[in-house]
Amino acid sequence: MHLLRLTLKSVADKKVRFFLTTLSVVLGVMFTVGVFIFSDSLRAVFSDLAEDIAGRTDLSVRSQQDFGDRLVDPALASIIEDVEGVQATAPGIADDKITVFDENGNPLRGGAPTTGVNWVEDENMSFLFIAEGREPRNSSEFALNANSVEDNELTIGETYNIQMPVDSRDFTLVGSFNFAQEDNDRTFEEKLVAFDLDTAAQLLKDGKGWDQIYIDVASNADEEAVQAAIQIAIDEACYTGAVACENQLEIITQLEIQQEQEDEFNQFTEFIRTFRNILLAFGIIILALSIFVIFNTFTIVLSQRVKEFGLMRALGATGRQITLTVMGEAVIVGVASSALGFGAGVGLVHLLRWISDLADLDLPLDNFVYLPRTVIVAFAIGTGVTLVSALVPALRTRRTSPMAALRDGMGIAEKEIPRRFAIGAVLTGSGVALVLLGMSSEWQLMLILSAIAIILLIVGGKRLYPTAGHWAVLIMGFFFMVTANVADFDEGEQWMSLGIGCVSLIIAVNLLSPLFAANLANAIGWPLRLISRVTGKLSTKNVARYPRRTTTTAGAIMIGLALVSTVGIASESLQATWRSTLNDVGKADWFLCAANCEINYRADQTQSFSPELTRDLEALPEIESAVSYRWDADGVIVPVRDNEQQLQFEYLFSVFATDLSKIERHLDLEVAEGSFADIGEVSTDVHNVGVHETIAEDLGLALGSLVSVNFNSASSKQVDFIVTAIYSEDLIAANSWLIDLSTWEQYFTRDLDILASAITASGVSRSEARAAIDRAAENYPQADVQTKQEFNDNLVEQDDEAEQIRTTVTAVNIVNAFLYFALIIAFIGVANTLALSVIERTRELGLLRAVGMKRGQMLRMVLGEGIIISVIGGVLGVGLGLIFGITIANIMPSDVISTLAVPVRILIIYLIAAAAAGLIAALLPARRASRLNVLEAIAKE
Amino acid sequence: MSDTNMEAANGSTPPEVAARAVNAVKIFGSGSTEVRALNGVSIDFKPGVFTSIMGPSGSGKSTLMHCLAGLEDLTQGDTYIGGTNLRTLSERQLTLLRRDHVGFVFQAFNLVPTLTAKENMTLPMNLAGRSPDSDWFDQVVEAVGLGDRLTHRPTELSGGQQQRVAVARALTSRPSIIFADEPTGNLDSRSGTEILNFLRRAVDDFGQTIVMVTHSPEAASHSDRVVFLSDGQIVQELKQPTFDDILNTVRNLGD
Repeated sequence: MHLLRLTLKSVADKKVRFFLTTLSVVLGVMFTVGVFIFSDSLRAVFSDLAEDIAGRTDLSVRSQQDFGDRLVDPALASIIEDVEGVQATAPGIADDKITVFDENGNPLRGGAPTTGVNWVEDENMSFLFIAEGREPRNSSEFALNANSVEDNELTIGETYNIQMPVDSRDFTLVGSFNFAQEDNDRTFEEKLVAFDLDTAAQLLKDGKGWDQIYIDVASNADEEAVQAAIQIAIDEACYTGAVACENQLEIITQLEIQQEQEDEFNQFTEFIRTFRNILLAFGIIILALSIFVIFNTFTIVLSQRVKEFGLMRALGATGRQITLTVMGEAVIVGVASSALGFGAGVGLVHLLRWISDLADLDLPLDNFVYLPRTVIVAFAIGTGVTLVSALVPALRTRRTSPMAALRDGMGIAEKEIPRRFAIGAVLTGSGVALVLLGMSSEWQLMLILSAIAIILLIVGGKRLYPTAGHWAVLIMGFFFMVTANVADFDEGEQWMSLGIGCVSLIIAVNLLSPLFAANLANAIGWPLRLISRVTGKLSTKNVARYPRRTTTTAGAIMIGLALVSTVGIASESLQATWRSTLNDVGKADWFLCAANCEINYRADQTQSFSPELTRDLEALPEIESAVSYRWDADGVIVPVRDNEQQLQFEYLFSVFATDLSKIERHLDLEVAEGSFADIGEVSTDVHNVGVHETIAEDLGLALGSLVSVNFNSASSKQVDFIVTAIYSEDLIAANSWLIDLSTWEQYFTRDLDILASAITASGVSRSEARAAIDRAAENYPQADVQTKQEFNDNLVEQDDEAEQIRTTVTAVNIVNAFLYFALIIAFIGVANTLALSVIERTRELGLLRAVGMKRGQMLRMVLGEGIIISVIGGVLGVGLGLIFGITIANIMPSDVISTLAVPVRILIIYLIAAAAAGLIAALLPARRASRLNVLEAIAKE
Repeated sequence: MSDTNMEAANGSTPPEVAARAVNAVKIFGSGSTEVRALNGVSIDFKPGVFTSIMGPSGSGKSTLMHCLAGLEDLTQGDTYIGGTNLRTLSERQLTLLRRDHVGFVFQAFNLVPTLTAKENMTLPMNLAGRSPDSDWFDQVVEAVGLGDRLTHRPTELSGGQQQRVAVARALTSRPSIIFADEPTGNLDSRSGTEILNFLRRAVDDFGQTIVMVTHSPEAASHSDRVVFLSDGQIVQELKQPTFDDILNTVRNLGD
């Protein structure tokens, strides 16, 4: 009790110091709590949504079959309605094979598919709620979910084109609606189109029936009994032939519907979970860095209180009591900062929602969900991290001598570890043995053995020579790094070696860096000494004075920058690899393309241009050769039949037509097998085709294979092809059926080109050719003239994979943004250390002022200390990052990273940024130092 | 000084001596930097006696006190508190012995800055998990005249008041012996005299045993016995000395 009081007093008395201690924990806890609340709330939204949707109906009748023709006879509706206890029924139709185009002919934005549904008349059973306008009433009207209307800026009352599997025509948009919730459209990315019932059945189901019948059971009826009665009614109707029962029907309950709905949302919730775990990883990094900061703060604060502890020891406090008092303080600090962090986390999510409202991001956050787990985790990690960081400094206070109260300048004694070669050798030896054993084990065992090995090496090494263990761990780190690079491991083991190598190196560098702190400070302080000889020198010496304190402070920066640099190298290498795999598709000198060369397979008649253009180009003396190209998305249908010639499904490929005899001079299609050159038609009935390798794989085609297809164009007759080339080009002709223009002309009515390419005749200059082409293209405003370079760049720009790489790079940037946040913690550590060291040196600083140091000089001196500490961390961190990044680039499968690229410029920027951040961190402490009252400072006990 | 009071202070029959050093040798450093701070000191401190230890700087007087109090080990020889040989005690046992049987008054940094005057006084007892006898505590508080200052923090007290709190703290746990290291060294003469009077009263009224290290003949003149150290050895001893006796001895030793 008495001890506790002492503890409480001590905390209350040193509010500033304890606030400094807690700041980093508060931030770490805040982040973690924010992530938990955010992801829990998002998931709750989806779960509520499933309930909302399912809640509109009690039972549903549908086919038991999961695929194929699974329709329900509409006649069944009235039969079900006659069953006692059934209040009402509603038809359900849904199909996602439709596309809506805006007034410019572009498909509506958003990644997810567009689903067409029927409008349900019965308001009690519909989960669509009119937001604006009205519901669709006839076969030329449709309504669209409110988000899509808004996102695409569609106008109610306007007419838009809708493409369906069997038809494509214009509809009038008569209204917008909210999905699932009356005043909130919960479609997220999905686009939802509603037609009136007959139109939906006709367009989406060919008039053959409905997908399901929703049933509303009267509130006073027994649902199970009603369900049984409906089953009987259905069986009877099927038996008598009153309705068509081609396939077995089933009745499902609201709960089952909800379950299915939740399963459907699962991809979202899975995504949320993954996202959350990634964010939590950053939380862990932040907390790991916090350990450095708190450890350092505690160490400094405790060493400043050594006289107090000495006095208490002299008065009869045992070492244990001192340690307990200090740990008690840590508990209070931990609990308090957990509470603060929790509050800040709650504030963070509210801030996030506020920002998302402002930015109109439409995050689906209705109510925040606070699970007990979040509270427990917040307090567990906040207190845990504080206790772990305080443990070593607190244990050290046990060794405070009572004489510390009586003598000046007596610190807490370092524990002397007696040299005992026998024990040291045994421990070190077993450490080495474990490392080797780990090397030849599965990765799980490797992890455990290595962790033990690190401890054995450090503990054992100390008994041989004070720093022997640290060097051993360093060697171990390099050993694992080299192994990760060169050993013949499977991927799991490689990554584990890398991980162990990274951790060992970080630990070892951190343990060893005090030995070199003075040298590092000296080297890094050199430019400062150039600027100002005296203050630069003092900065350097001050940093070097407490090597351990300096390197612990720098350690947090080191880890942060090591991570950032590693990510930077990996990301740069990823992009370099991708660039190196790119081939220039365009080989011709000039390209003329429709729609600004956005190779859009939908480019329609108005955007395409007449084949006359190509003929005009060919006729030019400046042009040696010109070729035109045509496209048809989903132009070819390849039916797949089973043994009984029953149609199983169909492949759809786009058709790409050009002059096959010239194509290889104009485009590099990366022909893998066969050739486009010198192809004459085998016969008038069998045409030549070049297929993309994915098609060859899908259909099991090889060179010379014969294949029959249907064209989606007017003709429905079968056309035979022989495969003469297999190519792998992806940017322009991915997944395409590459045919000759002559074949196209036989089967397609559209005779407009989407692209033309031309090769300059020899001896003609670029500008001459350009002038001639521009003149020829004058009459074809749709055609945009581009050089080879422009064309190729454009293709890369539009490529899906480019999109993927951009997404990856964005993801990497987000990762880095979080790491920068984590780095803030490290710089808080610098501010912390300097603030405490200024307090500690009050007398000394006063003395410097007394002997004539100016305020500005004092300011510069402390700023210099901040810069030097930060750059020490920066240099060590970037150095480690180089090792880690290069290893990662090496380990990554070669289809992801095959080229190593080090972003030297960025790494240098990191170092400069570290110096700048160090300067900023030092601002407040430096100001405080420069404003000391000289007399008071000197008089200070 | 009365035996009954001594019993009240210790709760047991008083031993023959409160503290004792036998052939105490303390060497700091080694080789060329070797300093013999104590060079074979043997001395007894009887219960209920106020002893001053004097000597020039570096004479070993502080070292002798630290060794007697168990704050530092001897290189050779033995020290005793009561009947207990400190050499036989572990670090932990030494701590507990200090807590229960030894009181300290230091020259400076005497109080824990975060605790109030009262909390500082009861700290040793609290560390032992005990509460002070409230009658005794009131008596001590009254004796040092701090009744209205009990809830103040050390920073809110003058140097003299702080030192009075320290004396009260030493008395509160009724130790077998109090060691005072230059208790008046940082005080003006009026506050210093006040402190010395309290120490005197503690001996006279409560039968306390006190060993005080001091530079000041004036301070030493409050004690029953003055021991003079020089170069780590006892060179002279005065009983019931007057100020002039002490001054003369100091002068002689200085020659």
